[in-house]
Amino acid sequence: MKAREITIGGLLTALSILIPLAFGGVLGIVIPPFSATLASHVPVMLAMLISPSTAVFVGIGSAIGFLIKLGPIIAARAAVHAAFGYVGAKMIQKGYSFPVALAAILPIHAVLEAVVVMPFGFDFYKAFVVIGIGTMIHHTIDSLIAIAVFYALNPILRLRPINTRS
Amino acid sequence: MAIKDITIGQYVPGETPIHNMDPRVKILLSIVFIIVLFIVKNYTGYVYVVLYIMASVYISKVHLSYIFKGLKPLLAILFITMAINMFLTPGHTIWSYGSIRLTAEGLNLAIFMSIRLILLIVGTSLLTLTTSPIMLTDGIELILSPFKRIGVPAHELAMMMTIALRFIPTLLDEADKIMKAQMARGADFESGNIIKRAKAMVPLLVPLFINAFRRADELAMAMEARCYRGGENRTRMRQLRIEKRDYVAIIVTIVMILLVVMDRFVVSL
Repeated sequence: MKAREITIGGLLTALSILIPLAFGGVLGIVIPPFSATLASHVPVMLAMLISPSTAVFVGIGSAIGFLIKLGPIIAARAAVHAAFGYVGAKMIQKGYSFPVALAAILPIHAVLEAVVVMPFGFDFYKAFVVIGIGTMIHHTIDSLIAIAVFYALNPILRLRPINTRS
Repeated sequence: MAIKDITIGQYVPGETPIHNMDPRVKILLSIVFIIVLFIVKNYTGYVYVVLYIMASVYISKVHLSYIFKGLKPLLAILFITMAINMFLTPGHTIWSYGSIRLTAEGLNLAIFMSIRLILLIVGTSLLTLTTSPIMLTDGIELILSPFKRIGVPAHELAMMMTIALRFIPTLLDEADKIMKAQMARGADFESGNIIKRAKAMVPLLVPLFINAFRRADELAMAMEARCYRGGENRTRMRQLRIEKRDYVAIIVTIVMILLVVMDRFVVSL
């Protein structure tokens, strides 16, 4: 990996841990057993624009960070982001646009987050109806934010997939 | 809002044997602990686990308020789990009101699941309360190192985590400054419904991300200027060593596992 991929991944991981901590009071939604902080998916979504490995690392990194700060259930849900981040990054590498990739990974995100909470005592209804649908709504809102941030960032930073083979 | 009030990490510095254990051992024992929780099938099994965790908390000298603080965010989940199990599990009714029915089996299951959840949180909280984030990252890298052979980039992941942990305070400070600057220009982050608040986040997130990407570029350049080329052939300033207290912890954990396993299978016979 290039040093730049590692440093961008590190900074985005820091942001994905930081956003729920710093803005949970303003953007937090708690509908038990579901909890979420709007904008918390944006760093992973932007990491998809760098490379698949960066997206996976930001997802895994945020899971480790959440385990450190918020406990295992939140960490398990954060680990799911590595999976949808990878799929989204692959789509972008193949030429799909950012908004299209974000829409395509929405069902993956919702289903995986629902599944991953079941070992912690959530039953089928709570996992799929509450967590799953809550995640879909959360993903949609964060996609809109990520797209807005992307179009604001891109003229300045010219984000584009890094060709890791060159 | 007081961003600066946020506690960065849950680490509580100390010089106890548990604080000074090799982080690899602590991480692996925590994983084993989680597995044991799902092996236990009755209350006598839990007795051994509870004694084990109480001894660990006592030896670590971590104040109980920190342990409880780790439990607080999940009280809602705990109550809902209990309620679902109490009222929706079929069995012998011990109380009812209209269509609401409390069963003996449901109550038993609710208590059982709650104990498991509490022990899970206390166990993982203890790991993070007694291990600094950088030591955790070191431990994770070394645990993942054997998997490099099958393509897991352990070093890169550890480096990324180290960078992330280092920059969280910096970015928190920056977020606070940007928020205040935008509020000085009339931005309102705290009123309106959740959608309006999400929209209001964009003037905060855009400069935050721009600054993060700039820092990443500068840091990458500085690292390469210091001849960073990835994980191969790098030496390590901080060496981890397994010592006597680590072996003692491993032995005690094995004893606990044997007691739990014997208890489970003896009852099954």
